[in-house]
Formats: sequence, C-alpha cells, structure tokens
Amino acid sequence: MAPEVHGLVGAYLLNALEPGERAEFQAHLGVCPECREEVDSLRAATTSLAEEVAATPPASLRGRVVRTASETPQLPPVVSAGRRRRRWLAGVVAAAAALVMGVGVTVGVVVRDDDPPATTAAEVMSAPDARMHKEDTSGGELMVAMSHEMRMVAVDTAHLERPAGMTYQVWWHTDTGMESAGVLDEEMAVAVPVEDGDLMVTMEPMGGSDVPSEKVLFQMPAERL
Amino acid sequence: MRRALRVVGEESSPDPEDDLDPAAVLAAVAGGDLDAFGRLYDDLAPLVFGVARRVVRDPSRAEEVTQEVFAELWRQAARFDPSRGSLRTWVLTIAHRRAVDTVRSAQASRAREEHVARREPVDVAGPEDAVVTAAEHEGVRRCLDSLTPLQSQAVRLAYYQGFTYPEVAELLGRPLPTVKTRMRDGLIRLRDCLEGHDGA
Repeated sequence: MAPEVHGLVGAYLLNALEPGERAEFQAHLGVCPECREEVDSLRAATTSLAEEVAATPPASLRGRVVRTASETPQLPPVVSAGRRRRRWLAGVVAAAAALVMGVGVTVGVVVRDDDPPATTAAEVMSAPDARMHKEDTSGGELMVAMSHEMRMVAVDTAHLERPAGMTYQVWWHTDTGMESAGVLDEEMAVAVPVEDGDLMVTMEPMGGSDVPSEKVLFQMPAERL
Repeated sequence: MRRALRVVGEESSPDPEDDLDPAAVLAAVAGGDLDAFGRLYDDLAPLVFGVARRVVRDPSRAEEVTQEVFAELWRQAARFDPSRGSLRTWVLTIAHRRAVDTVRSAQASRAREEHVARREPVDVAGPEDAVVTAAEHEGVRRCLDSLTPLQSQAVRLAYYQGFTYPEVAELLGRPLPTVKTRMRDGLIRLRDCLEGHDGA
C-alpha cells in the first residue's frame, strides 16, 4: 500500500477530503483490502465523536420524520447473489439436458469460475460509501448503487414494471466487448463486481440474451457511478 | 438479511458500544412499524441532529439533514447489513457525510475561503444538552483528551466543523502531510482508547 494513500485514511473517515480526492481514495479502497480493513476498524471510533455534540432536536421534528416515513415506500429485502448463481447453474444444467434431448436451447448466461464470495445487493446499497443513481424510466424507477469500497455495483429493479415474458439484464461494455453480468429472471436485485467499462441495464426476453437489445434503460461508465 | 439479523440477536452486537437492540427494532422497522421507527428516532436523533447542527451550523438546515438521514434509514431498513458494523455507526456515518456535503455545496469556493480565514480554529465542541449516557460520554471525552494537542485539533476541526484537511493545515499552520498523519494517528489512538487498549 502506498504510504501517501494510506495517510489519507483519517482524512477520509473524517470526510475531510475534497470531492475528487474522496472519489480517488474510494477507488483505491477497492484494490486495497488492508486499507478497507483499517477504515472499517476506525469507523466506530470516528462516529463516537458525535457523542460530544449530541443535542435534543426540536420536538416538532419527530412528527415530521415519522410522517415522512409513513409516506415513503420501503425497499424490499434483496435476494443474495449466491442464490442467483446456483440458479444460473441449474439453468445451464437444464440447457445441457435439453441439448442431450435434441432440443436447441440457447442460454445467454455465463457461469464464471472466478466469482467472488456472494455479496448481496443489500450489502452494496447499505455500504456507507454507496452512491445511489435513480433512473426514471417509462416502466418505473431503476436504482443503481456503487460501492467503491466493495468494488461492487448493485442493480435494483424492484420498482420497475416487468412485462410478461421479459426480464432485465446487466452488462459490462468493456474494451474487450459486451459481457453479461447477470440476468434478473426471478430476483429483483443483483450485485455485480465492478469492471472497467460501461455498466448497462437492458430489458430482454426471459432467460436473457447473448447481446443486448435496443431497450437500454441505463448506461454509465464505471468511473462515474 | 433475516439470517444475519438472527445471528446478531443471538450474539453480541459487532459494535460493543451500541446500546440499541438492533435486531428487534430493525426487524420491526423493516416491516413498516412506525412505532418502532419512532423508538429508533428517539435513540439516534440526538446524535444525528447534534452532528448536523454542529457541522452545518444552521438549526433549520440541520433539521433537514436529520430528516433526510432518517428517511434513508426508513427506506433501507430491510437492507441494512449488521455484519459491516452497528446500526448507529452506519447512521452516523451517513449523517456526518450528508452534513459535510450540505455545508460544502452551500458555499461557493471563494466565499468558503473567506470563511476559513475568518473562523477561529479553537471553536471546538463542548458538551451541550447531551442525552448520551454519562458513562458513554465520559469515555469519549477521556479518550479525546488522551490525543496529542495536534491530533485532537486536526480531528476536531475536520469532524465538528467540516473543514477539509488542506483547510485544517492552513488553520493550524502545519504542512499537509503532518495534518493527514495526525488525523489518522488521532483516530487510531481514539479507537484504541475506546476499546480499552490504552493501558489506562
């Protein structure tokens, strides 16, 4: 770990970095487990500083906060990426069986051997450094959250309409081409590792596609997420 | 999520200073229980509002920040992951970042430079109408006092006043690398003291 970057751990936790530097440091956290560990280990101590300035809020605030909550929809829990992968594998097994039986089936899903341990979309979205992007589409609101610390992106389609027979698919468009990062056949949300390219979310026929359709709901380069 | 909450209920919270029962309260809040949400508010609002008021310095803006933080907590309750830290740490991390971002976005950079030049570096926090338990508060105060003067000033100027580290360096008349290092050292010493590893 570069000593200069490591030196920024304190300033980062105290939110004392300029915005550009914060983004740089967060990107560094993604490739520096040692730094992440230190940040995590110091977070509780940092927030304990709040105890010095605790103050009773105006009594009227409580009612406003609770009323706002009563009018705000809550996000549903999210299915873990681990279950997603098992289902993908099941899909591949089914496809292989179909081929044996002489039925032509194409499954637009890639099972990767180098998948990291399962990270849930919930974990990514609740990461303290998560940056949330909300995209209003004709079918509802799509949410994309990026955690540099975890080097993961969460895509949440819970508030999108889902026409019969259709699904949503997540892609990375990199220098080496277009790669499917996940198909949301049953689950509403998915967490995928960050890659060096554009993140895309498209609507596809159930089961996913080999190449994205024209129906692009979201596209953004990783460095802007 | 459900499994993680159960584990926390059975074992001690990952953050020993968290006196909430995160499992029970959070599960209820995640299920849309407004009464439980109100109890969570009662527990955490003095800390969230206190931080916001200290950093943004404008009580009505501090109320807005507090409202935003709790709205986010309500929205995300079902997705909170206790394995990454306590609920209180999560909420206060969001609160401080929001407060700092609010105060920075509100100030044009030039106006802010003047602001920095005008402000005195010694305006640090004292206990106010605090509702935190005496023992808890005592611990933080004692541990803050165990920092070197420079560590303490650097940490306090950044956390309580929302200054960036170059601004802190300017205010303290110290080189940038020194200030960065003192911030980190200060937090490490604070952590070790709070965890009781300081030999005191």
